[in-house]
Amino acid sequence: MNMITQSNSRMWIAATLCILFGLTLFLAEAEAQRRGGGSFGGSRRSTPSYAPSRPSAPSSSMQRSGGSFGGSRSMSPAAGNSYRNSYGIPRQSAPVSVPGASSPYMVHSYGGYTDGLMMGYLMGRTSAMWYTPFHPAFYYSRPVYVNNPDGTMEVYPPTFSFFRLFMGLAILGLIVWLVMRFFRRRAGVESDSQSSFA
Amino acid sequence: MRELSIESNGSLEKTAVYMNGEQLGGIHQMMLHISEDGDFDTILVYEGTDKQMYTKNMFSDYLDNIKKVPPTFSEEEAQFLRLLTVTSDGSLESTMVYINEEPQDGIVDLLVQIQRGTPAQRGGITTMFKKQESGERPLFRAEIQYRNEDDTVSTESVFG
Repeated sequence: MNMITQSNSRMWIAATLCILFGLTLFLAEAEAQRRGGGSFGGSRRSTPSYAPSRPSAPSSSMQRSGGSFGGSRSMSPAAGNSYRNSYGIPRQSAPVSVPGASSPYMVHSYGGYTDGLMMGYLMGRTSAMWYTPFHPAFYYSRPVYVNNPDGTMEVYPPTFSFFRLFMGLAILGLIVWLVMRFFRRRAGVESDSQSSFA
Repeated sequence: MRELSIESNGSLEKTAVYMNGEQLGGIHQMMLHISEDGDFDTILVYEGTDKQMYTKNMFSDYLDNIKKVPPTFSEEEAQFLRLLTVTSDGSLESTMVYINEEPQDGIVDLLVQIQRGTPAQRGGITTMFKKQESGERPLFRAEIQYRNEDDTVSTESVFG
């Protein structure tokens, strides 16, 4: 009996470690995306203390979000071009006033679900569910912000992330496995507990 | 001479097997078939304390690494169970059968076959994409045949 109990404990510990490992990977990836090179992330500060020290970005662009929502790292125009090249011509490009930003952002829409996600991130209307595998937003990256030399900011919609897909599948699989194991063991223990054939 | 006892109400969940008074655990299958014609099959398949599977003759083999567990049935529970006891050294001539400690005679055939079921599928998520393999179904069969005084044979269930 003791050996069985020890074996069960070991399996539960292994399963818990697997979940923790998966969550750590996911959080590390999310944190890296949020930080975007170390300038972003964490909780909002009352004053944007990072603005003066940021060397390359124009001062107007620094006000795009007030440093509050930990979106993707602002990219250089070259990166923006690369993004445009890979995505093609936007279906629509329109200036959008973003809360906390002094000047409107040029938002490029390509249609579809990612436009909604992009606007959600821009307006700060996200929910905790977006960060769980149970919401489609989990499987997309953050919007891409591009700083232009003239101080304007361009925003591109999120892209599908296969890494997040695999992480989501792994987390969901682990949850299903743990639930099935729990019920299977409970059924087994209840039915055979008094039997020599347990 | 060994003493094998089976205490049960006819269901697998309420079945305890004792060898020389000690309750056994980890049994997967047992086959006890003794007849006056000379059949003497007493096979025990069990998982040992080392997690290995063993197939042994109950009355003549040494039961390596057999699991011994504390008695699970209380006296109150045992009142609702029947106790089949077989004492033997492995030969038909020396074999005695008792039911609820009463010696039996006129036995033509004794058949006890108990098998623990195995899960139909194991292996996690990959089994969703494979054809299901049916596992072994639980089996509980315990019958005893007596020859009556008028030379007829009647069959009874051992555990009622």
